[in-house]
Amino acid sequence: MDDTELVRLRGLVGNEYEPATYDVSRLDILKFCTAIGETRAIYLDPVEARLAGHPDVAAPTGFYASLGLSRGSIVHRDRLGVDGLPLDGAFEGLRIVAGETRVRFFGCIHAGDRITVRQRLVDVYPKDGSSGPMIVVVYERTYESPDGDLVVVERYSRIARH
Amino acid sequence: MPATESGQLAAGQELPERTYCPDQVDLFRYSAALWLAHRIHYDADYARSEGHPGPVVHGPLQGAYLIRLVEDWLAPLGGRITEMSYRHHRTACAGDPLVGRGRLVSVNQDADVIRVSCEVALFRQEDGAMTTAGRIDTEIPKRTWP
Repeated sequence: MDDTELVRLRGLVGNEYEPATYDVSRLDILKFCTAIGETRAIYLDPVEARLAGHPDVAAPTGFYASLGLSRGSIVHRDRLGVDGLPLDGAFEGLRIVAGETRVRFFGCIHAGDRITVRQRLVDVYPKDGSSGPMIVVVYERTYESPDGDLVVVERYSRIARH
Repeated sequence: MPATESGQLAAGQELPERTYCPDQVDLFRYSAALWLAHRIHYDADYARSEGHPGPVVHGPLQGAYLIRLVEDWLAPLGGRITEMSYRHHRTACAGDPLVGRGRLVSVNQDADVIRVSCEVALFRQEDGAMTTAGRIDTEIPKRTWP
């Protein structure tokens, strides 16, 4: 990993991406539940969810990731790279794997909620990995309700190498 | 350790172990639920071209397994997860059974809630390598405490 790449990526620190707003449906939650093997009734059955005090079916704790990863991914095919990731200009020609994740949960997402996802690139730094030099790129994503209440705040990194 | 009504929460207590067996179908369905087209998760040849042994188990799917490990214990107590952090140490690939283990590392009483932090990790069953490890913080309302 040469310094040019590091300098280029450092130039992106502070970038804010186009926010995306999603209406969360029972179907979105059902698909997520079946994908992870979640079977608890408050996530699947509106009646059980209401009996438990929820306005509608709740989304499992990890559901936020489906909104976060949708941001930037629901695009036309010509905006995806050969690796299947969106061409956002940051990582073209690099191999990417997941790094660290830190998530704070302030509320619960439910079917019928409208959630706005905002993403910022907050840090870039070099790191020596077992397979050579790497660059760590840190993002922050916020998930908020229409009233501006934060529901989830996520800070995560992606590790890039040639 | 703070006193609790039943005295059942203590640092060091282990969470029930869980085994997860994500295969290619599971990875596809998780990618589909996220509308995520990243090829390393479903295209074995492409994944190998990036140096992975096979289709890679998603980071957030492993996060979801760690959440379930804690919630299987936490949900019956009426608690919720307030914070989670984890990082990936080794790659997990489709077909690798993953064993989830966790334990309580701190138990603190607030006015209305009991705050419990857990250390959690996933290990490849085949060779014991730790793929993902982290910490999950929870709160349990005292009113729901059994």
